[in-house]
Amino acid sequence: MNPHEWALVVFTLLAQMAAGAFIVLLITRAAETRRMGKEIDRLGDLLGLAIMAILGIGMLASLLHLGSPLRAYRAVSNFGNSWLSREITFASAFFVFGSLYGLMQWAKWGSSTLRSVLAGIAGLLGVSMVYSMSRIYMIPTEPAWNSYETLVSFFTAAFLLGIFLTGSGLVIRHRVLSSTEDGQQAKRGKLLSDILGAYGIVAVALVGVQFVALPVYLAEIGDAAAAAGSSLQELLTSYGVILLLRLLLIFIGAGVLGAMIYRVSGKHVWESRLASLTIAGFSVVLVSEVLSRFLFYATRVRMGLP
Amino acid sequence: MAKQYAFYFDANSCIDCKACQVACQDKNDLPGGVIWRKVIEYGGGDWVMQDNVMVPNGIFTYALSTSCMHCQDPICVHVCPSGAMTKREDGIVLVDEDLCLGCRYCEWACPYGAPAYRPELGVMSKCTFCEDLLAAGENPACVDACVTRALDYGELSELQAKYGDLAEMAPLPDAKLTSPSFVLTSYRASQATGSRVGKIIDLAEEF
Amino acid sequence: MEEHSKLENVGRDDEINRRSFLKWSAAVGGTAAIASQLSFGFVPANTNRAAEPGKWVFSACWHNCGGRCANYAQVQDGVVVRQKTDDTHPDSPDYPQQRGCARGRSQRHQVLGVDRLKYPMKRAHWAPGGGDKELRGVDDWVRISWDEALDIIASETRRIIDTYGNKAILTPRLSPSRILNALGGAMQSWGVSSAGAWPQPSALMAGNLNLSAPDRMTYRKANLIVLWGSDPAWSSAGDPTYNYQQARNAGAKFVFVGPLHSNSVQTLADEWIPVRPGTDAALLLGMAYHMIDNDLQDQDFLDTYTLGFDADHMLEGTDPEENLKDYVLGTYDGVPKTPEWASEICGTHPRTIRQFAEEIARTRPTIFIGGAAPARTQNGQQFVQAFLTVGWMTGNVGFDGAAVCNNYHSSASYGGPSLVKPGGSGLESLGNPLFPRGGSGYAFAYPEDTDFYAVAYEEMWDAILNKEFTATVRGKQPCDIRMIWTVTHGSGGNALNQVAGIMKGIEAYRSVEFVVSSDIVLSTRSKYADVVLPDTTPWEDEAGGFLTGNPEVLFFYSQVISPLYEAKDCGYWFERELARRMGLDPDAIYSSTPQQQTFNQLAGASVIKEDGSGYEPLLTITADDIAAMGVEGKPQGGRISLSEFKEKGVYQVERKPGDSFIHTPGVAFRQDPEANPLSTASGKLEIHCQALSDKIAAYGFNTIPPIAQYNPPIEGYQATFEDWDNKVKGEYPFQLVTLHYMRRSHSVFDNITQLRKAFPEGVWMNPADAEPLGISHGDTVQVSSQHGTVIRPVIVTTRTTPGVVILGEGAWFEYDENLGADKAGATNTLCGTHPTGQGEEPWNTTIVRVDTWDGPALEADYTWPQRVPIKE
Repeated sequence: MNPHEWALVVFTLLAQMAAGAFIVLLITRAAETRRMGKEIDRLGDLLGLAIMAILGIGMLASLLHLGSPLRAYRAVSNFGNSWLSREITFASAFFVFGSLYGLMQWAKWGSSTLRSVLAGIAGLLGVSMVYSMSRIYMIPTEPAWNSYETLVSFFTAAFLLGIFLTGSGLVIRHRVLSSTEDGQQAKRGKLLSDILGAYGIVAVALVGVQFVALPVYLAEIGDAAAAAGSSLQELLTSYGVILLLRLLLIFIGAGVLGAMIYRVSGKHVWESRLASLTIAGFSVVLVSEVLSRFLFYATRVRMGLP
Repeated sequence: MAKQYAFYFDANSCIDCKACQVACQDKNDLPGGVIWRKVIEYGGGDWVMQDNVMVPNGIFTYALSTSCMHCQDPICVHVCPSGAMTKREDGIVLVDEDLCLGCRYCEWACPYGAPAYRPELGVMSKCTFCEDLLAAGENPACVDACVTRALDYGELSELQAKYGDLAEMAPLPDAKLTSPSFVLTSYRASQATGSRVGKIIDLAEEF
Repeated sequence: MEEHSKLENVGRDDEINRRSFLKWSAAVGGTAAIASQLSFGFVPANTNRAAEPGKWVFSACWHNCGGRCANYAQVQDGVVVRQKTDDTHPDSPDYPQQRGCARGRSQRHQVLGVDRLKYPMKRAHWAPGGGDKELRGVDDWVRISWDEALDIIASETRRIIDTYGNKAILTPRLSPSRILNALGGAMQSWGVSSAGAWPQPSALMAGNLNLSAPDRMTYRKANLIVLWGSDPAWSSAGDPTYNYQQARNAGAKFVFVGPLHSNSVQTLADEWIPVRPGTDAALLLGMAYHMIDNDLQDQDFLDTYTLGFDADHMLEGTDPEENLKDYVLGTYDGVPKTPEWASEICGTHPRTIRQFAEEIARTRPTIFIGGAAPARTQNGQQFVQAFLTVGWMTGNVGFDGAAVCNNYHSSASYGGPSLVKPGGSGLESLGNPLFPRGGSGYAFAYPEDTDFYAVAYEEMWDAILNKEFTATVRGKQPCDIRMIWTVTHGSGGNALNQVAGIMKGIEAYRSVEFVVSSDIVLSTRSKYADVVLPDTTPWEDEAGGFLTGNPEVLFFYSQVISPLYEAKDCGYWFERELARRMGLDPDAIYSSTPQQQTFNQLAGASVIKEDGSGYEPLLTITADDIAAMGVEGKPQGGRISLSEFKEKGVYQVERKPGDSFIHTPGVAFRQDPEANPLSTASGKLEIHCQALSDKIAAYGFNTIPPIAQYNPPIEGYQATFEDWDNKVKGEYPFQLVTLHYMRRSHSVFDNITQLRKAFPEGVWMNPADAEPLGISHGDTVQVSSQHGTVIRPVIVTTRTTPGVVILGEGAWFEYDENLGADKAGATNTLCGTHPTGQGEEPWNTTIVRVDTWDGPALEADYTWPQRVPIKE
């Protein structure tokens, strides 16, 4: 794998993480607004900006994969045909709308309706970005990538990382707010516990999706033409250990820890264990997704002529 | 002006001498490690024991000289984000090195391995069909260089009338993918596209 | 230690830096007109070259590649920006352009590369007498002036001649410079390299029928063309393969015999017959058996035109039991040379042997062509004897479309006399007093002489180390070599790299008192020297010159660029300067200038008349031409004008089928052998050749029988076994074949990046051999022999015969002390010295082992830095 492809590992993971986290944040707010109102505001008020900062770092990283980074602005020129142009367009627009939302949310500018609309637009742009990103890779010359598995992989990565990033952001904010002694801590704790419980069960479901999709994918590329078969061979021989490690880690990080979070949250009170489980979950899931994305690029075998 | 410039290749003549590859590098002043035309050696068959003697069983080799196919449905043009990759009216596909970002997406997309990254310039580069020589009434450098006269070029429909319309042979990809502007006379013992009977018998570093 | 500049893939960083070139040019007011728009070196792609006005100059392509082609350089502001090949006439099979190969097309990177030697230099730790001799090859280099270089060479040469005599100076694989001859001579070397064991058997068995092949057009008349151990696609560059393709298109069937399914096989062959290296004689004898057993030989031909086939047709005075037929039948040695007997040795299936014998016996006309590779084996004579014998048994001699011949170098697919040729230079000979009848030493034919002092190629390093050499009929004689001289004008002559036994050669180099070399880049012979002189290339020679190759064409190259930096002609200029310092008259060394010599060649150039009846002058030369060249001569009339010839650089005789230039060897002999005897002892083709047996004995290394036999060669197939009867393999289970590789012309061009990219110097190995060793395609492997070890990437392919490993010869030895091996794959690290026969070099009988390599994988050759000895 050459250095410029590492820049893409960083970019795709951070961008997907940002999109997933943003959607998770939106859904969480929408679901809990009536119950908690301003409390959810306090928990999540910095998250929007934090998520956009991560997206920004990712986009800067993506410049490192270009041979001529100063010309990056030209990348939107072929929106009509190129999924890469579309991805950059959506990513940039997502960044603009998402940052605007994040700023307004934190500074409490504008009406809550306006902010919700902006958030909704940003969310759509984020999903479009992840979708475009997937379609970039789904070209017939790259048989190992030209599969629904790429969509599954990118979206589950987005939401697993998004869930755990958002969850971690919330538990950190909760910890910070505990020192303000505004008397709302218990209420916030119960809210957060419920939220994390939902996150946990969704994480388990997402891991389930990943584990079901994988053997289908392996069979698909094993069957296909020579280049895909080479990818499979590469994957299983040179990188077999890494694949096993990736699967083990996601099972633990999202499956086991997700289930544990769900169980603990069932008590409907805040327990500090929830914080450590969430942050541990994030770390393990992040490592696993880095390994997964590394494998994605490393086992690429383009079909056709060398 | 041609509607679609195309190359012709006779696999029965090629001896893998790479005069075409090097002539192209010379004419375009490319660094030694960057090639716009490549020659691939493909072969197969095995050895079997007969009466205690190892005998060759269907051993075959043949070579394939290719550059950019200037495809009629060029996937590189389709995917290029900056619009640097374009197809002209005469069918020649060119990358504008002043617009290219060096994202290398075309390198991922091209089934013929035509786009070549120039690390010293940070942009992609590829066969231009020697369009400057064509404009001066000369032939592409590779065609004039071939010591066994395995290469020819011209308007695609004329080449097809003269040589047939075959554009596939292992290890070339399925011509339906990008409709290459290319005609070949297949090697007498060649394998069809997609066949796994043979394999490329070069080292990866040659490409 | 020696520094290398880091080769970055930056623009054309492997070409001389534009700024330093400009600086130098301006400083010396060179003829290079410096324009500010020099694009050379940093140009983006797609430069519109066609529109630029650079001038095309016919430039030399002077290499020992087996071809000779047209090569033009486009010069702009004093540098070469592009090359092209022949476009002087429309191309057609009958009148083909002389198209050049990837190597010649890379010439400008050799002439103008950053690794071009610019200044005279000496080793940092050199002192008179040698200094720290162990550092030869790994020392730093110090730039010196020409004055200092000439003084050193003069004083060391004088000292060594005075102390030890002229015999103490060895000129390995080179004729001594004229000045050495004027000073009393030097110890030359002799032997046969490319042609293997062909020269003496051919001369003595076939006489003036010799290696004769038909002319190019006649090949199309053959029904069968056999190429035995020959790969013209990669060994005879230029048109030969295209010419053979015309024969193929005309319906000739091609059969190739050899261990490799080569690119020649790929494009031409209807059938490929594998055979183990060094066992071809056994295969041929097995075929002979089948022919004799079924009475398929052309008995009338044998009876009338040959001697030695059977007991009834032996030369008077020879033992009748020594005839070929009884040997093949096993009458006296009890071993009938059946196809089964042959198969055990050569690896070809007996059924194939029989079918092939039938085919050559029954097909007419057949052109039966023997390559040189099977003769580059120990006991290589036996291949030639067997090949000629079996060829003559088919009777394919002396009629249209038939021949029993050799396929060698630029004569491949071309037979017959030169249709156009240069005149003589007029320079009187200045021979080596120590080797009066030796010539260049190549194919030295007079071992009976007792008055010479010269050493066989395969014995040079031993002669230095052991202080004795085989003086042919005089047996071992003492010698004391103190100096190695590889100064010459021109590239090649890279003996340390190109003669077997590099490890021993380096030991020899490090034992002598003085090593002086000239070169254009730091090839092996200069890397291990004490003083190195920068030579000009033919592109820089003012006078221009001739190049010859195939018989139908003559080339004349002109000066392309001014000499670079301080490079000088290390023949004419250097020797005259040295003469001054050593008390000799420069004019005694070279009495005429290069310009005069070239003029003489131009004036004497001749071309065959249209009707083939004789030759006429090629060039019209006017008084103005003579004055412009600054030479002496007389105006003359010819076919084309001198200026047209110089401009085009090529004169090619146009041929058509049925023209007057048909050549069929042996017709007169066939028609009347009594009236047209051959120049053999008997006047006939000698299947039994006592003269050959006596001649080989005279060389002093070994003896051979007067007929074709199979005797197992040293380091041949049988040597790969520790137990032959039970077929238990020994320590070196594989045979090595050294291939003519298209990256290089022997060792020339190895330093060119784009050629390294095109040809990665992999070692080819059959999966039947690789898989049991756990070796996969692309792995780095270690190949070792009794003589040394190399490290290379491996190409696992079924195109090579099981048991045979193949590696291109000529890579520049690049020893890595830490690895204890040569990283480049110089085959002479693996091949050992075996003084044998007529002094041929038996590279293709070398046994090796291949092992997996645990060390770091090799970087691709094209990423290796250039050798730039003096930093600026």
